[in-house]
Amino acid sequence: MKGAKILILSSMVFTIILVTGLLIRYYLEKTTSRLLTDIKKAEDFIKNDNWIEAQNAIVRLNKDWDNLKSKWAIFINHHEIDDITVYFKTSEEFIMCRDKAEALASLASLSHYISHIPIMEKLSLENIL
Amino acid sequence: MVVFIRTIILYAFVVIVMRVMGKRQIGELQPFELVIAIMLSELAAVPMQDTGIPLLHGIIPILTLMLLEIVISFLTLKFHFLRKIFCGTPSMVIRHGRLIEDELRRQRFNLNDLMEELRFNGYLNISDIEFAILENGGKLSIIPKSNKAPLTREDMNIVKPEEELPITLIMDGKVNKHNLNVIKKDLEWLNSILRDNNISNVDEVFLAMIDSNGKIFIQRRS
Repeated sequence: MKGAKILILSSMVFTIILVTGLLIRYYLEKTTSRLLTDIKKAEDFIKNDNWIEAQNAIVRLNKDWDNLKSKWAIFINHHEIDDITVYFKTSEEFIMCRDKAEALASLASLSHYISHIPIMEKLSLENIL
Repeated sequence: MVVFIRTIILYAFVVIVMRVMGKRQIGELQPFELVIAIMLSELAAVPMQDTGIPLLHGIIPILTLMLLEIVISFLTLKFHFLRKIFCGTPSMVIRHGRLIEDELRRQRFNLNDLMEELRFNGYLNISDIEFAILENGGKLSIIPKSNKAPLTREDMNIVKPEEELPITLIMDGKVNKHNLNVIKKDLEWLNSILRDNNISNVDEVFLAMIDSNGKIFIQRRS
C-alpha cells in the first residue's frame, strides 16, 4: 500500500515536471513570436526610412523586454538574457542615431538570438544529442 | 550574496532529496544508487557557483534523479529480475576453502585485494574460510570454517537473557516522560531515585539511563 502511494506520488511529480516543461515551451514560443513580430515591424519602418515610428517601436520593444527578462531568467541561462539585452540596447542606439545599416544588422542579430531560445528548449533529437 | 542564498537553497534541497531517498543512500550503496549520489553532488555544485544558470536547471535534474531512484528502488523490491539487472547478484569467490578463479576473473578482483580484505577481517589463510562472497555493495562477506569461527555462548552452553535497549530518562536536564511511561514509572519514582543520589533538581542531571536489569546510570552536569 505504502509502495503504491510512493509510485503514485512519483508519477504525479513526473507529470508536473513534464507539464511544466510543456507550459514553459508554450510561454517561450508565445513571447518570442510577439517580440519577433515587433522587431520585424521596426525593421520595416527602418527600410522605409520611417525613423520616428522605428524609434517608437524599439522603445516599446525595450520596455516589453524589461518586463519579460525577469520571467525568462527563471528558465533560461542568464548569459543568453544578457546577450539579448545588449543587442536591444545597441539596436536602440543605432535607431536613435538613424544609422540604417547598423540598425538593421543589430536587429537581425537580435532576431537570431531571440528565435534560437525556444529552439533550444524544443524537445528534439538535436537538442538531446 | 546571490551565491550565498543559492547555496542555502540547493543545500536544503539536496538534504531533503537525500532524506526522501532513504537511509541506504548514505550507507551501503547499490550500483544505481552510487551513480545517482555522484551525479547529485555535481548537479547541485554547478548552479551553486554559476549564477548564470537558472536555479531550476539544478533543481529539475536533482528532482528527476530522486524520482528515478524511488521508482527503481520500488521496482527492484517487487521484481526479482529487475533487482538482478540494477543491483547485480552476489558472487562467491571462495568455496570450501578454495578460490574460484573464474569468478575472481569475472569480477576483476585481484588476489592482492582479496588477501587485503581477508586480513582486514582477521583471516590470514584462505583454507580457514568456508565461503567468501563479494556483495553487490562491493564488500566481502566471510564465513569461516566451523573450527575457525569465534566461540559463542551457545558453544559453551551459557544461557543469558536477551539484552534490552537502555532507556534514557533524563537528557540535558529534561525528563523524557514518554520513556517513563514505557517503563511504567512516574515522576515521583524518578525524584526519589535522584534524592537517593543526592540530587535535588532534575536540571543538575546531564544524563540518566536505566538498563534492562533496572540498573540506573546518572551523570551530573560538570
